[in-house]
Amino acid sequence: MEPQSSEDFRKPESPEKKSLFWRSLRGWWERTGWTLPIHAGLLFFGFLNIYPFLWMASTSLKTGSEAKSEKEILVPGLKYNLVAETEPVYWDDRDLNERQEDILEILWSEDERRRSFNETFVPYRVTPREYAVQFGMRDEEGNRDVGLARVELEELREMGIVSTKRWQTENYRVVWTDLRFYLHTLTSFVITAAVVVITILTSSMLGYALAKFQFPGKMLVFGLLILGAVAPREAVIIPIFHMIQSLRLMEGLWGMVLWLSAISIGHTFLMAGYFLTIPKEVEESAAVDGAGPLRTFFTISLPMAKPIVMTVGLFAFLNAWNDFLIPLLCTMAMPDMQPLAVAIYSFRGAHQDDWHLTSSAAAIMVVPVILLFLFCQRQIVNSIAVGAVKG
Amino acid sequence: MKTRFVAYLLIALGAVVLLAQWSVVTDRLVHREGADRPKEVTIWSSSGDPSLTRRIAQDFMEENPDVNMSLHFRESGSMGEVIFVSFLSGNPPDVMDIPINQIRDYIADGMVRPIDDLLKRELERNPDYLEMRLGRESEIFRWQTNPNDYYIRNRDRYPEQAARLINMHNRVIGFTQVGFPRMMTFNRRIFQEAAEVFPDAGLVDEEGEPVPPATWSELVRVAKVITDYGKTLDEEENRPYGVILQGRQPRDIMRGITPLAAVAGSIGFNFEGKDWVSSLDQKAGFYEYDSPAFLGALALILRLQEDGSILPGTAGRHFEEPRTLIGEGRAAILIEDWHAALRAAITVPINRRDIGSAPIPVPDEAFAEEVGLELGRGTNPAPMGQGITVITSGASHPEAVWRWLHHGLSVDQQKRRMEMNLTLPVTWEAAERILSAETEEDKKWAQENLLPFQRMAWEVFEESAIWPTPPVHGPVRVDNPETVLHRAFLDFQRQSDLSVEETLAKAREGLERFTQAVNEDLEQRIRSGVHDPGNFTFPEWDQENPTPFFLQQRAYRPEGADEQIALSREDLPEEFKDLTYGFIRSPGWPHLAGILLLILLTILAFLGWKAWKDWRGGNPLLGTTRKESREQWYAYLFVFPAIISLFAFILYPSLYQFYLALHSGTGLGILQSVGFEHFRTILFFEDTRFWTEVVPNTFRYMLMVAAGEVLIGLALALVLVLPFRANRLYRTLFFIPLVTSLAAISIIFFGLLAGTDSTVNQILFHLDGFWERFTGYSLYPEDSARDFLNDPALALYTVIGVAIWSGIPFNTILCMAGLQSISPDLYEAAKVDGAGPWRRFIYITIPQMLPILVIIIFNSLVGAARHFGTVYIMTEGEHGTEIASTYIFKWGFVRTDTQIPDVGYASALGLVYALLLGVFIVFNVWFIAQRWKKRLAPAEPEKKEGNK
Repeated sequence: MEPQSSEDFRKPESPEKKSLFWRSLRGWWERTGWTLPIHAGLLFFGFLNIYPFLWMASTSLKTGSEAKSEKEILVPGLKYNLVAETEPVYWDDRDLNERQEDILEILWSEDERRRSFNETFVPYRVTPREYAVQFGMRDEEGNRDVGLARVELEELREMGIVSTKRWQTENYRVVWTDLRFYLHTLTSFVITAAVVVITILTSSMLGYALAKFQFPGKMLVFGLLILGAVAPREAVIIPIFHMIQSLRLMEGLWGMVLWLSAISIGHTFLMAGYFLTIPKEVEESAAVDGAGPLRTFFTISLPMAKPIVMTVGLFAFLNAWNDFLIPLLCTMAMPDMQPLAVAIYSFRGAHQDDWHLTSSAAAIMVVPVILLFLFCQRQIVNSIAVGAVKG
Repeated sequence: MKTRFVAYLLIALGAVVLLAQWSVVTDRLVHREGADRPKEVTIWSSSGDPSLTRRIAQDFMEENPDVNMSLHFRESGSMGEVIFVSFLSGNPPDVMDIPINQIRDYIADGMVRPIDDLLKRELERNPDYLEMRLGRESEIFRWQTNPNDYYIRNRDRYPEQAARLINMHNRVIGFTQVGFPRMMTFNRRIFQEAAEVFPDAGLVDEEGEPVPPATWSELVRVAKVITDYGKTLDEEENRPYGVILQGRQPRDIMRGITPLAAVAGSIGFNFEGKDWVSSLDQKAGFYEYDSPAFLGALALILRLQEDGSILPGTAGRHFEEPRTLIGEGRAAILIEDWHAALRAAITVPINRRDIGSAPIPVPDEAFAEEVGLELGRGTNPAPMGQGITVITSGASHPEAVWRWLHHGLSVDQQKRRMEMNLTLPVTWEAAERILSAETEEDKKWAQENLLPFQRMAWEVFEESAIWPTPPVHGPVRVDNPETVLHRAFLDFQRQSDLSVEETLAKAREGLERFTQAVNEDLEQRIRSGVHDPGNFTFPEWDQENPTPFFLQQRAYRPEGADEQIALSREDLPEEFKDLTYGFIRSPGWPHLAGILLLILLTILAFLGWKAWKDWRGGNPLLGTTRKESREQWYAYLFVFPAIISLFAFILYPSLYQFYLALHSGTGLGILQSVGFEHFRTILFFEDTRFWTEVVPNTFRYMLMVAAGEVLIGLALALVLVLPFRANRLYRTLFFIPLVTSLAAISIIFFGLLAGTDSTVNQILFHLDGFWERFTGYSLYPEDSARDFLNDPALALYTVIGVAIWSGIPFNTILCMAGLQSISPDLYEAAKVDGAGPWRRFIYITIPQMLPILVIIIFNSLVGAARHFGTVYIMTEGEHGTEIASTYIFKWGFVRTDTQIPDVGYASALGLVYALLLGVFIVFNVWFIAQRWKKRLAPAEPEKKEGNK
């Protein structure tokens, strides 16, 4: 029987009446199709994708021992902290020993993990006085024989001895100042800025020359450029390292900067490709006005190439910001001049179990870049798409 | 419709994941044979005595013969040595129960004691704590091994050591924990005994109670008296031992040590300054180090026992922060290491491969003769002769020491040593002026003169085998001077065929000479009023604003500082005035010359080729018109910086690498020519680790990372190009790893995955519990968690997973760009023809995207080989994750107990690695050349168009 209408293309319904539930389900399916599963899947995988960052953020706001023990909990618990500077409180209770046990019982009980002092926040620089506060109260002469009667945590809080806190933002302060992350950030910025500038200049000039000029040796230069772009970096770290050290460039940041700029030479292809698309008339008109090639380049061609310059700059920025091997080599002797990537690595050795500090450092390193990304997402994605494909 | 197909893809992915759960992944995650649960006990030892920790672990192993264990040692930050004791049975990594009472016994024994106060409290409160913790999961405890406790509590096993320790403790005069003088505790018995012999010395008051000294000068005085008392004792063993300072304020202690140590040396008084703070404070401005190195040597020499062994213990981690000491002006001189003090043999490492067991061949006789060292053999090929000693201000008699060390050397030999930078000449006055700069003028002078000196000292220091572990990692990885000295002693003794007593006598004799020299110098300076041992200040330690180290060094370098070669060359003795050394280890100008030469050669070769071609073909060399030639010159100008950079950083180093690969040496030390030794090692498969682990790992890594990145990126791109409104949100979610640094990602994942109690494991446990409640079937029988990063079976794949994770967004973007470039007309046409989504994918999408896909795949492959950071940060190349870049790095720059950096070998490795990647490189080159040649080639003298 020939199909007469689109209705006939449908599958014949089964004779039994399906229940309402299945019919509405099918109706929903026919309306929306795969949308919901796809969204669900994307949300799920997306959450998995950013889970490490969530973990990082939450761990950076925990105390040390909490970070060590409650690793899988994303939201830090409420903590009762001893206020560091506390006036001594005088009690003249007689059963001091007993009371002291009781108070310690509260303070250290494992049952009330979320409200207990099991993870007491001890201020970063511990002085003997603070220890005294932790174990009880001192009287005027600093004797530690005065104990506390059994008091509820609420009372302690009202007395101002204890404060409640959930987010330990002190970790950031510790990492920033005490562990000198401000130095590392500064170094990173300086290095990255220098590398970006040098890379843009160098690669744009080379790309321009390759695209616009004919000169003897052009193919040779091109061949060298290809070699430079594809040469494996890790294979030549040793001779370059020794060379830089002999030239005394290792003592400052210049060795790193020059080295990083040199390995970013592959972006020349991007620039050359773009310059090839600029018609010659534009420059010939500038030449008529009497500008030399140099002037033409800097005043006309380079501004015209702004999108590709930004792409190259972005790539160079990412390379310089993220690079680990070269700064590690160049700053082994200068711990204070390490950029962020290497400074982060140092957490693996000395502070290996200080997850709160490690996460704070990682957050300092990552969050600004993420914010930047969120604002300029479109441009960045476009740059990468255009650049990597054409280059 | 594309969406349906995409949904199929997602389901397929999900199914794959689920399936994998039950096959490979499950097998790797869970080990079901037997009721095993993994137990890994980590003993972190900060005793500073590596042999002790090993001994403990070996005892442990001996006492549990039926438990198959393996020991892994790792040095970790400030904790010293870490021992992982994995209890295994059968094929690794099977696991077995720990006998819990074993651990308890060790705790009760005092052999290990918990370092964490929290842990300690828990143990005291809850005797079942161990069971509780161990029962749930694998646990990592932290224990601190205290060698003294260990020996004393096991005195039946180590009677002599225990006896000596007890004796020593009984002989210690004073001990302070926080700072001197108020917090020092003194040995009452010694005071009283000394007071009986010297009643007028003011050691005790009227009631016979000892009067503790309250100032430094008091302490010095008391120390003198007590030392005299000690000399009245017959048995040397019972003589008072010395004073141990421990404190939190290293600078203050050190400043105090300066005069005291000088006195100490002169009166033969044992003095140990010891301060430690946590490594956290290290970055904050406190510095962690043990005894002043020189005094350590002094103490060590005196603590040599009759059988040639050394009393273990406290002089553990020297050279902790010598660079910092230099930077602060507290380390004045670098001279030859103590090895020379015993005139022991120098071993110049030649064969890196045979490290550990085989004796090293005798080095060059001419070299040894030249520098006045004796030939010999060493059982440990550590380049001890190239070591540099830091002498801190605590032992500020450089000239005397210098004289002592050069005792017996001819002037020529001394000169040669200086030229080879094994020794540096500094006169006493200059050093003292630096170290004791008080007035502004002095400080300025010190600043001006110290900086080049520091740099010089730094370089010489760096040349030693101590480099290049950064100090923030904790103790600098250097041979424990104790063991260095011990080895030197043993070597010397073995080589000179003397008995132990005779060697000891020689050592003591050397020390006598030195002490005498120190004594004379000190007395002379005290007499001349330059130095007052009792008069110094404790400067306030500015906790709030420690000066950043590099600002001290870098920013304020005065003009002309580089010109000063030697500190006070005019002060040198006459015969040294014509020294020609420079303080740049290997000069830089050969490199510059090499680069320029290379450029010149290339230009000449090119010109020659062109000339030959022109001679054959008749084309003009340069452009004919004036404008063209001017353009050409400008082109050269444009090309110039990039070409310089290319030559300097790619081409010249490749040639230099060939040169290096024919030599051997550590860091900047003496390079020795070894010919094709390295290549023979590598290519004849003698370096088994390279061929069995590194190369397969590298290729596995590259291929899996590239495949994973591209495939998942493609799948994701297929989803994300769909015109959902919320796609931008998803893009944000998925693209975040794009801009985050690989180092940060690696550290975050390290935190997520490290250890058997890692976050991921915890989550899996929770999920497992959930699952178990539903199905009664647990994926983790008896809580057998796996350590993702330490388990050799899992580690590589974990790292690969992280690398894939971080590379997905980049590839997704590229694939999206590729997908969006396919015109939808093709799809329409295909749909009209009745092609389903799968056919459309295979016959339209893939072919259209093929060029871009090839680029993407290639980028991924080549980029994956560059993933040094990920691997190194997560596992440092241990546990089976060694890839070529980490291997080369380690061979070039990392010194461990079993491996010394060999620059030549690392260069050879780099060359072989480049060779192995040769296929990729060649293909890459060809590919790029193909794409670009036409666009760049000068077609005809007409203009060429722009696109394609």
